[in-house]
Amino acid sequence: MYWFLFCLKHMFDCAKVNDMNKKSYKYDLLIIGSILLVIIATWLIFHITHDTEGDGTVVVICDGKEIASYPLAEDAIISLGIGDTNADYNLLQIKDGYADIIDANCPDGLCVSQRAIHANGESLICLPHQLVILIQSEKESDLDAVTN
Amino acid sequence: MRSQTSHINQLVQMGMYLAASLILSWVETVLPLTFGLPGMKLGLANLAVVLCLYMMGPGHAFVLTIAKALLSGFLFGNATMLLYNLAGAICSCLMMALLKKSRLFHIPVISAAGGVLHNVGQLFVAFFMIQTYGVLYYVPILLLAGLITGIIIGTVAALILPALQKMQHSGGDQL
Repeated sequence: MYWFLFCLKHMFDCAKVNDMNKKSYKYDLLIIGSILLVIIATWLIFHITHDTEGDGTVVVICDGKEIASYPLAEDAIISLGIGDTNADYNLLQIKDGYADIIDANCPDGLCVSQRAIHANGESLICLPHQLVILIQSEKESDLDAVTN
Repeated sequence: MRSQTSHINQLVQMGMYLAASLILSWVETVLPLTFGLPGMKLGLANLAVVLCLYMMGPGHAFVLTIAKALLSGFLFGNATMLLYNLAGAICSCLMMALLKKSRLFHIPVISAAGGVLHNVGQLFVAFFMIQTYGVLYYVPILLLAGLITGIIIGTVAALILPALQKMQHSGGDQL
């Protein structure tokens, strides 16, 4: 890698000497700078829109059956009653395009400690309550179809 | 008589540039340096276009670009690749001719702008053909790739150019 960079610098120096007409590098830097600016701008735009898009849905699956689904774009705090008498609960929070379990009365509490999810296919799982929370997003699968 | 020889001279030179660009395209298909990105390549054939632009002028370079895109498309690619290449090559050639005409820029920068514009043209066609915004996620990385490969190609062109000019100045008969 270092060798490659060295060669490149040498080549560039030679080219500079060989370039017949002496021109200032001001305009060169202007062009390179504007191209870099466009690159950074487009990257930022896609990065931001990609992250805050939140056009997915949060699907709640309990005991193998889908019991509810919520849009990822709308902030909400939902108490999910588990079991016949709703004696157990998981508190699901949807905020800024992320879904997270913030409280639960399950014995191990592992679901609460899991990280918030936002991308297609990510899941939160609470084993004692047989609860699975999934993100399903059209956008992501669309992109995959194109890149494949 | 003089104009006729220069005419033949130009014809021969154009043939040489076209042959060189096609060989470079072939080298690219044999050694694909894609770095895992579809549509990305080193753009070696652009070297011939840059040299032609400097040695013979924008009109000849434009003819060379179109001939190169068509021939390499038919030889090494398929119909869609031909379309992508043609759009990218025309964008890139027009941009390079404009920048050269302004007489403000060094060769690596002109070539870099050409590389970037090549990818922009390709993405434009891809966008209209696939009709998905997913393609646009490639924009930043493809622009960066075009910039880097363009600078490398332009530096190489700046190294070769003095030798070519010396050859031409020492009498066209030697070409």
